[in-house]
Amino acid sequence: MTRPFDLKVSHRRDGDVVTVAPEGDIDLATADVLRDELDAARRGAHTLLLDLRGVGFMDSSGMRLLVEVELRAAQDGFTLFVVRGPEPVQRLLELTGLAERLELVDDPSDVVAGGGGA
Amino acid sequence: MAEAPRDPWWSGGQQAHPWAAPLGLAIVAALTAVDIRWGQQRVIIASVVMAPFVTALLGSLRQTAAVALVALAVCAASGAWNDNLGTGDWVARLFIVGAAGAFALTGARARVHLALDRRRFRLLNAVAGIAEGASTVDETVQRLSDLMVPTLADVCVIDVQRDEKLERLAVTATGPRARDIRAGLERRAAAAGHSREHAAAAMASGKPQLVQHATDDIVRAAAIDEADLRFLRTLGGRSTLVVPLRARGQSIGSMALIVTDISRRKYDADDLAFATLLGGRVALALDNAGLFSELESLEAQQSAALDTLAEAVTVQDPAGGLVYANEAAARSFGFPSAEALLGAGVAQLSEQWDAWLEDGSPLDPDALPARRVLRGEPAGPLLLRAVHRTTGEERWRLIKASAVLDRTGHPRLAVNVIEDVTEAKRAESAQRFLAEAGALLASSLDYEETLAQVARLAVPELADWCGVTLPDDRGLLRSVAVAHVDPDKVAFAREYNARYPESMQSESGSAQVIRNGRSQLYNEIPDELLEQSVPDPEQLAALRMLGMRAVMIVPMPTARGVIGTISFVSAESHRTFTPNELRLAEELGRRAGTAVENARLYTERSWIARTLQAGLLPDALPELPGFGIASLYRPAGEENVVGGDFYDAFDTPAGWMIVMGDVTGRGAQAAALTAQARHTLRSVGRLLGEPRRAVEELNASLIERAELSICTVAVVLLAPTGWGATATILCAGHPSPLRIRTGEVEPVGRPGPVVGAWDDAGWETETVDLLAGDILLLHTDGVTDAVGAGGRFGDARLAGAVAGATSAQDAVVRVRTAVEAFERGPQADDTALLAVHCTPVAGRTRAARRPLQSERWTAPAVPASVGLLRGAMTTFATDAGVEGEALADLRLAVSEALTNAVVHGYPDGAEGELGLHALVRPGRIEVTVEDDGIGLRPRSDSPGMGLGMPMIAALALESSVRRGASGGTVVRMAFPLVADRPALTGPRHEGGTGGAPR
Repeated sequence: MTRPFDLKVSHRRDGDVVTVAPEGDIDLATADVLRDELDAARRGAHTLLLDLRGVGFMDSSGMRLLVEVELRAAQDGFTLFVVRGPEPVQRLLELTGLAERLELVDDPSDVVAGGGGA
Repeated sequence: MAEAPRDPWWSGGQQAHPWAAPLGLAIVAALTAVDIRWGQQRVIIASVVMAPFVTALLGSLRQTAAVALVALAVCAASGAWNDNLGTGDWVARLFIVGAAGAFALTGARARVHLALDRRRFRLLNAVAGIAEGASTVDETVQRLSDLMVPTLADVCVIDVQRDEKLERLAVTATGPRARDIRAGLERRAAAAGHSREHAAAAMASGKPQLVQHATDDIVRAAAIDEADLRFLRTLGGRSTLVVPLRARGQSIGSMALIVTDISRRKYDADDLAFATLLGGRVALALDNAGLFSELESLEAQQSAALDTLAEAVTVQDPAGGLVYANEAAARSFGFPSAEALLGAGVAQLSEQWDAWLEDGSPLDPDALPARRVLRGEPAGPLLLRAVHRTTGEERWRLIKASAVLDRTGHPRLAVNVIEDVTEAKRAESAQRFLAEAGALLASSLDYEETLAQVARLAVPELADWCGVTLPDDRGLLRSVAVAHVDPDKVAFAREYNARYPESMQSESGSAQVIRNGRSQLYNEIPDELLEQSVPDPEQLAALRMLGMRAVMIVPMPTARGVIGTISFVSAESHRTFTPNELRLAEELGRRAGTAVENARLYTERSWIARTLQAGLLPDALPELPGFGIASLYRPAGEENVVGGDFYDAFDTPAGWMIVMGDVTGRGAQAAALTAQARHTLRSVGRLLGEPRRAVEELNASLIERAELSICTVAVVLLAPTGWGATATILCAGHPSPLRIRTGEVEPVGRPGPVVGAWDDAGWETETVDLLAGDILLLHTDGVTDAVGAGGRFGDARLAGAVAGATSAQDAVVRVRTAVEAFERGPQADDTALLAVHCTPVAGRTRAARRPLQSERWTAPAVPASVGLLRGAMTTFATDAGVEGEALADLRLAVSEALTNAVVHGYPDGAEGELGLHALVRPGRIEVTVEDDGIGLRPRSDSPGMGLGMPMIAALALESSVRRGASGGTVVRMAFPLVADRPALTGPRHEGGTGGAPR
């Protein structure tokens, strides 16, 4: 069993949709891991799907990362979708107003099926 | 130039050996003596023919003739002692000697003429040499005149037509009376105007005038008066040649050659012909000199004009050599005179001055405008920054060059106009620098990063190095910014600063500037100064490596003293700092000081605000038996000055008293008033248990204050009963409390006047019942005045939000959620909420049943510890009965606090420890996060974008931040123990994959 503060990141590519799914806690210790994974995964991707369903905890370190990715999407011209995470994660997004800025979806298959052209 | 012949070739012995005649005569005498002795036996006398030949080889024509005649006479006389007088033999001998004498004469004559021709040629050559040389007319005339004497004449006079007048430009004479002759002839010219002289005739006719033998008649005719006649007679002119000087078809003067008693020679037709030829050459030389002189006077005029110009002007030849420089150029380049600059030349200039282009790149000499125009390329103006290698003086120069073309169109000279734009450039860069620095300083409250940017701005424009130093809490000077164009050097400086931190007690440098507030400027840094201020040899060696040339340290002054310094160091550029630059640096220091102070005040103010606010609120709401209680305090805006809302809850002899108040105004005064209001109400309320007496007492104390101090309060006395409680409510200008009963919301209490305005104000209380399950909500107008898209939040929305509340905490959360959802943009007023839930003893909370418990954890201050400690906290909180959203809030807040401690407390990987403490109290769980780091300081690279503290404030029931005893930061947070609020929509994953334990 992974320790509470560990983070595993898996990614998958469906056409030009890249799904990045972190599992575990996102905090000061693990945000950099996710950042690196995201940077690597989104290269060449048309659509980036960040699946937060496996995230048990996220604090402002993770939030900053989300803001970065969101800004990068606008700048580099890729589309970012975020799959809603568990309530504590969602609450953070709500609390910080990030929920309004992000394209939040409940089911990743909507995006993948739509080829990212949502 | 050909060597001019210096001796005459005529007179007593023209090129004659002094012993030529005596030698010839001695030969004659010797042979005669031999002939007299032995002549009758042998033919000897005829050998006297040798004598004229020997003389002809060495002597003059005359000597040869004389010796030849003597030899002939001796030969004739020999007939007497040889007894053959008149015989054929004697005649034959006589004929031989006569013929040989004639031959000797011819030979001598040929020899003399050859020498004469050679000398004439050399003279012509010398004249031609003068003609080619570039000299002034006066010089040329004098040299020509000197050439004639004594070679061709005993006296030479040259008159030249200049400015419509004939001027006697040269008189050269030889012999013992030379000086008198010269003076006399010059005087004569001035008196006579040459009217009677042959010069006039020669010039008028254009033909040379020859006076072969100056008879007394001729002299008399030439004399102007008796005195002149006497002078002419003493002059003793025997023969005179006057040659007109003509050039380009115009008469330009005359040259008179006079033979006196010195050489006793006579000019003949041959001399006349040569003099004519010579005259042509002399005229040519004079004409050239005249032309040159015209050119020279033109140049002299131009040069005089250039000399007076303020702009530096230099002229370079195609090889780049300096051929002209004016005084301004000499001044600009640091030379005492133009001559000194010309003597130094271009090579020395480039040795003395380092030059850079405006962008800081070194100058390529081929790019200089002069070089370009000499290559025939177009060249625009070039702006250069030059720094003198030894004095360190800095000059900005604008160089323009134009070419002077020769007849074939090739560049012959390059004229540089060098404008010194140092002052303008400095003023411009000072303006720009200050403007940029000002913009930077105003752009951010993160002053350390801002100062770093300002330091970078100063490099390399103002200095090679720029550093900012601030004193820290430990009495050391901390370098917060170092800039240099070379990153390696920056790294070196950082290491140096880290290894040798300067103490505030230091007697020199930044410490001294901070203490006395006076700038320091060292344009010379002798090694002794370094040795004196740096005793440690290793440090001294490191400091020497910087190669400091000049240093300028300016204070960053603020209203509360000097808060730091900015240092400017010149090293490899060798430049020194001018008084103007010191002023610029001081101005920068002032602006930086103000900016840092503003940023610090702002940060500190928000710190103070939080701390003060925490002090104005109860540390923790007490446990009220029979009531659930919850509160919220939300300051307007993130970083805030102290707000005026307060609330309190305490027990009294008559029951529980809860207080909600709002002081008008903000800031320190409001804070003081808030403190006074809260504590007056508390002390009076506690003693008497009567809301009205408490408010009246407060009213009296506020009226005593000098300035108008008013506040609004709602005071409620809760008296438990068997079935619930009664609430005695007093409203002094405050929004009425709301009673929530089974979904119905009702304002309770009677409105009364504000406190502190009128000494005769009276208040009426209203007593209402609170049944089990009823909630009483006290709020400030910050709630109803919250501004959103649809106007104010208002009473209706408040009632709607709170209607379904099931607990005190729920009521607070509902209102907060509703207000936050409603409001847009920064809010003007603080928001405070206090809710009590009437829960008769049977319905006591779960937490109340649990024993008090606490736990403490420590971990190294590293990022991985954040998750570890969060996990431990989660376990503890879950055990204590925290769940659902409250648990999520707690975990998030704790994580933020831990992250802050790691990031801000221990920047740059400093080692340290994190402390986490949890304490379960009735109805709440209190968490303390502590570090022993350097304290909370603004940091630009904060991973949470500075949201940590505001998030904690928003998540926790209460939170506070303070400086711990060890200098670190202590964050205290309280969370409700019962999560009795329904979850938000959305899937609920408790923990995910290993997210939260259990």
